[in-house]
Formats: sequence, structure tokens, C-alpha cells
Amino acid sequence: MASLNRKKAVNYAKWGYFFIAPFFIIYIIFSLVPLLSTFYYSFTEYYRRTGIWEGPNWIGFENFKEILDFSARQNLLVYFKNTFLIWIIGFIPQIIVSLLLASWFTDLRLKLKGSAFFKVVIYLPNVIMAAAVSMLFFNFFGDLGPVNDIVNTFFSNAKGLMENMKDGEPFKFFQFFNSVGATRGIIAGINFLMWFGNTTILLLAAILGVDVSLYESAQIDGANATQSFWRITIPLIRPLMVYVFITSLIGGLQMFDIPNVMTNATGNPDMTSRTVVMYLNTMAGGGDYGRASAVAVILFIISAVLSFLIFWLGRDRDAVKRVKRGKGATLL
Amino acid sequence: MKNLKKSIALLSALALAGTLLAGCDPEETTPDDTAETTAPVAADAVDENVTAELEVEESDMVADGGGTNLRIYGWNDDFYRDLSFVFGNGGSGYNVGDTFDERVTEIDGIPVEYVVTPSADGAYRQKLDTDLPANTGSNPIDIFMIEANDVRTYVNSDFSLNVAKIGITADDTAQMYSYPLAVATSSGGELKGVAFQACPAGLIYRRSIAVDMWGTDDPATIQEKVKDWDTLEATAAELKDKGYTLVASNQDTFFTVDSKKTTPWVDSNDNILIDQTILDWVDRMKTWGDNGWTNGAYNMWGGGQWDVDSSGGKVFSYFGPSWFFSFSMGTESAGDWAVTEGPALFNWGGSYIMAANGTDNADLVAKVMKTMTSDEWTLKLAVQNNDFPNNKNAVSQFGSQEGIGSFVGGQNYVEVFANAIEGMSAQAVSGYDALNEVFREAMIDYFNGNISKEEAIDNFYTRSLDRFPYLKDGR
Repeated sequence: MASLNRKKAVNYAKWGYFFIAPFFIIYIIFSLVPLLSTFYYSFTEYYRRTGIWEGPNWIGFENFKEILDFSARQNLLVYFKNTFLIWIIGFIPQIIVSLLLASWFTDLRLKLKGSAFFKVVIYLPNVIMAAAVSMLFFNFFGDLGPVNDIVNTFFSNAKGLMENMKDGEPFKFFQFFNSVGATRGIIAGINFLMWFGNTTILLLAAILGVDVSLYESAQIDGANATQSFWRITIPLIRPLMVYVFITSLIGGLQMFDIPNVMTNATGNPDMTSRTVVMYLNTMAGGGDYGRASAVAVILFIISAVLSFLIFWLGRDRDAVKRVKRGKGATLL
Repeated sequence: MKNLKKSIALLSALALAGTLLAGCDPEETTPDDTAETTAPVAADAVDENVTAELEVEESDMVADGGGTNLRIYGWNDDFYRDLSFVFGNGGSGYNVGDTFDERVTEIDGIPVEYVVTPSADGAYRQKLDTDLPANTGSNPIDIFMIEANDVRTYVNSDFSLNVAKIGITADDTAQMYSYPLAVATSSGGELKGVAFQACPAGLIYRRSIAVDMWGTDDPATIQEKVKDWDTLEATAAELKDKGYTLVASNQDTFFTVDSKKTTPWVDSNDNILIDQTILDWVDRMKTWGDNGWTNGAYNMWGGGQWDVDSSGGKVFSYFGPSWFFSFSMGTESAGDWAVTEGPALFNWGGSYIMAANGTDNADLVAKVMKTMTSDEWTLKLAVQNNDFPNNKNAVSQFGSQEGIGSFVGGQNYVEVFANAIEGMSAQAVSGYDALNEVFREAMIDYFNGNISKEEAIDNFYTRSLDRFPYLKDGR
């Protein structure tokens, strides 16, 4: 009986492999091979000099030694600090606003009308190309841009007060891109604007996943909105918060297009808005694939460590306990 | 998530394996052996003692390959526009003053293919460096345009052809100025490119401000006010008292010193050096900014306070060549400007036509070069585009042409600038002139008081060494 069945049964499993093959083929050619060659190039001297390629010649850890030399005033550590600062300035308002919006959208008592519309609207900035948005903001905050116009109007209304200030010179304009704080703030602001919608949607999904009966029973027991938020929502969406945090951090590490367009690839003032990937890009653009690869490898390692952190922090602790007690549940 | 973790683990393992295997790569050679022998001479700097030798043996001539397509590389549409001006309109070319949108599709029955790669972020150079070494096949590159900052690199490379080998003779170059010729002559005495325009520059000032200040806009009188740096600074103070500024930004005068420096950016040992002239300029410009002689523009170009039209007519002068008229300055104030020599005549920019090694249209390339640089067409192009012709005959005839220099109130600006190009030294032009922009931008932070001069110079070295890994800090 059993042998008869086996003969009759058509094996469809192999078709599954055919169907997923295109992904793997494309992945290997366009992602895996470049990734591996990046690792290889990071250990080589490989650059272009006046149109002629030099290398790749194996030089061991020389590129890393050069890049990890922190004695210069501007070095990789400084660029990491710049990147992290710009990211965190944008991330803090992003997570606060997203949490607030997500909890409002899901609040049983508020029953917001047209929430689908607002969800689309807050997600929209993410659809526009980052370079275009930064060009737009560059003009907004330019010397003679609308922002300065508004400030100017405000001050010229108070001209009686301003007349004798600043050596008799009237207020002209504020150079946003000559101020470290303003430049970083504008870049972070764009990041915030582009990503808070995305984060809101993620958190929404997480909050919707929380059992409604929990809120209902809390309500019956007399809990107010703040209490249900801090005691029910936050603890239950913690794994997703960790996920949002880490993915945003990895995304932030790779920050490039906005500061690059905004500062004309210089990272000025005083290179304080130069991110790690802008540094990498300068070297790659100059044809120095060896050093650029070394920076990419360092970024890869940091991102990989952060990814593993997601799993470690986001794992199901009860499942871990069950495994330890030998009850057979699988980890993760 | 489980799968993701597994794939990341797999990736890391593979990546590590990859690096181990990489050690056995057959391409591995002993490092630095080849680097020494291929190092170019003194950073591709111009050697003014070398003059181009335009007589070549008959056997060295590059024969026409009977190509079926004229393939041209450029970083913007400008050369295509000019080429169409000369060869368009059914082959007879256009007249001065004609407006045309046509882009010529064939010359002498050979189709034209014009490939544009914008120069931003070095994209154009990357394109050239990728395509020129493999310039074979059925449709090779025939002509490539190159800009002043990069020209020395390609003059001394094998990617460009000696134009004598395609039939350019001493007669064709007789009317050209020595500066563009020296720049396009390789250290081995081969002429590698020709230019139909030159870029001498001086001081462009606003007539209405001159009248308001001194009751005249006559160039000769104004020249007395700006004849040297000390007089210019006295004039700047005078202008400030009336609410005007001498220049728009601290960097506007940069190219006056950049083309006067005596040593190239990079010496023969690959050290990056900053010429003393440049360092003196930094100090002077810092003073200008602190004294309020600039309009407070953050950077050159970039609009805002620099922009001619939107800074409310408060800026007295800009330092630039004639391509400023149409390329950088506004249209609202057109006609309200005039040119004079200023404290120092200088050179800024230039583009060169080069024949690509591997061309299969040698005869047509030579024809394009000869026609574009002829007396007739350099003159017409200069009048049409507000340019300076790289042709002494055209320069002498320029003043008698109709409709010249409408931007500068009909002034014969070519006559003024001709003094700049005559006998100008190209001794500091080198393959690393792209560093001048890096330097200028690095100084902005010092001018604006964000950091000290030493820190700004430090930033310049950091940026330069990121871009050119094989150069060294020459301090």
C-alpha cells in the first residue's frame, strides 16, 4: 500500500526550487559576489591613478590601519560621531511622534475619523526621493530662501528696535548652512519627516496586535488612557520597538544622500555633517576601491552586530525558558 | 526571522571564507613595483620649455578607419551646441544672432553621436577612464571634450592622440595663443588637443554703481580705482561707506591668484603643496570679510547672496572671464556691466577638443578641429556665445563685429582680456588642478570664523588625500 502511494505521488517540491531560483541567482550575482569582493578588496591596494588602475595588490591590514588611525583631526571616529548625532537628533522626535500617532489611531475611546487618510498623508514624505527633498530644504533655508524671508519680515516689523543694533546694519539673513547645529538639525529634520510615517505604520501594526480585551478589562477596572498606554501598550510592543530602534540605527549608519546633497558633498561647516558613507563615497569616487572597501567592511561588521542584537533582544524569553526546562519548544 | 539569522550567519561565514581565498588570487603581485615606473612626470605639470612638434613622419600618421559614426563625449551640451552652430543648418552653419534648437545629426554624411555624462562628483572622468582604455570595436569614441582642471591628465596619457598625427599642421595652430597651446602640449612635445575659445579674465564691474560713486562708468577711469590690490582695498572701503560691497564672497578673487601661483599643487614626489601666493590670498580675503567688503555670500555660485540679480545691485564687482556673462551672471542686470583689467588679469577654465586614441574617423576629427578653430568660426562663435576666441585674427576683428558684448553695454571686452592671455604663464597648470576647488571650499569655514586657518588647511589635506590616495601630505 505504502509503496503504491509513493509511485503515484507526484513530487512538486522541485518546482518550488525553480520558482525561488531567480531570486538566488540574482542575489548571488548582484549582492553576494560584490559583497565578497568588497571583503577581498579591503585587504588590497586598489586604486586608479590618472586613468590607470593600480592593483589589486594584497597588502593585508594596511587599509584598516590607515582608516582606523584616529590621530588626525578628522577621522573615521569623528564621522561615526557625526552620523550618530544626526541620527539620534532625528530619531528621538521620530519615535515620540510615531508612538503618539499610533496610539491615537488605535485608541478605542477616541475613534478618530479618516485615520486611513492620515496614515497615507504621514507616509507620503517617504515616497519622495531623498535627494529631491534635501534640495527643497536647501532652498527653503538658503540665504534668500522663504525661511529667511519670514524671519526678515518679522524683524523689519520690529525695525524701530533693530535700528541701532549690529552696528547700524539691519538684519540680513541667517546662514543656516554655516551653523553646525542648524545644518545637522535640518538633515535630522528631513530624516524625521521622511521616516516617522513608516515608523507609525509599524507601531500601529504592533499595537493592533495587542488583544483588545486587555484594554477593555483595564477600562472596566478604571484605568485611564495614559495608564493603559504605559502599562499595556508599551510592554507588549517592546519587541517591535527594539526592532524599529535597531533598523533605524542601521539605516542611520548608512545615511548619505540627504547630507551629501545638502552640503554639496563637503559635509561643511567644518565637515561636521560628513557621515561615514560620505567619507566612503569620496574615496570610491576618487577610484580608491581598497580603502573604500575597508570602510564598507567596518560598516558591515557594525551593522551585522546590530542585527544580531535584534534577535537577541527580540527573542521570546518564555520560549527560551521552555527550552531550558527541556519541554521541546524551539528557540525563536 | 529564523531564516534571516541563518542567512546572515551564512553570509558572514562566506565572507570570511572569501577573504581567506583572496590570499591565493593569481593577480597578486608584489606591491609598488609598477607604481614607481608608471608615475607621471611632476604631477603632469606644464613644462613651458617644451613646444609642440607638429611635423610628424608620414608613417606615423593615423589613417582614417572609414568609421560610420562620429562618437563624441562631453560633460554638457555646450560643445554639441557649438558644433551644431558650425555644422548645422544643412551643413552651412548658422549666422551670428540666430537662435536654433537643432543639434547636428550628421557631418559629411557621417552620423554624429554625442554622449553627455555630467561632470558632477567626477562622473565624467570615471566615464572616460572606463571607456577610453577599451576604445576599440565598431563604434569607438572619436572625440572627447576635456575641461581645464583635468586636461593635463589626459594630455600626458595615451588615451589622447597627437593631433599632428591626424593632420593638424603648424598653419592650423599659428593663430592660437601660447597659453592654451602650452596646456595641451605633453611633456614629450606632442600637441594633444585644441581649443576654439580661451578664458582670460579680469574684473567685471557694475556701471550704475560706478556712476553713483564716481560719476562715470568709463573703464579707463575705473581701472585707476582698481589697478592694484592696495588701491582696490581703498576703493572697497569707499564703497562700503556708500552701502555697497566690493565683491559678493570671500572666494571671488581666488582664481586671480590660482593662475598666478608659481608651483603646481603637487610636486614630482607626489607631495601636496600650497603655494605661498595662495596662503597670502587666504589672509587677505579673511581681512576683506572681516572688514565687511563682501556681501556675505557663503560660497561662490549657489545663488543667494552671491547671485548677481538677487543681491539687489549692491555688489560692485565680480572677478571672472567672459563666460561669466552667460553662465554665471543674471539676465535682469544685463547691460549694466563693464570689464576692466582689475588688479590682476588671470585665466579661469577652458575646454579642449581631444582626439581619442582608437578613433576610426581621423579625417573627420581633423576637419572638426580645423573648422572649429578657424579664423571665421572662432570669431562667429565668440560673438554668438560672448566668448573669447582662441585666435589672434579673430581677436583683432572682434571689435568691428555687430552686436558684441551686449551684456557689458556693447564694450569690446575681448580687447581688454587679450592683454591677459598674451604671454600668460601656464607654469603651474598641472593634473591636480581639481584641488583648487577643494582648497577654496575648505577655506569657507575659516572665512566664516568657524575654525582657525590651520584647521581649515588641515581639512583641505584630509579631503585631498581622501580623493587621491597616492598623494602625500607635503607639510
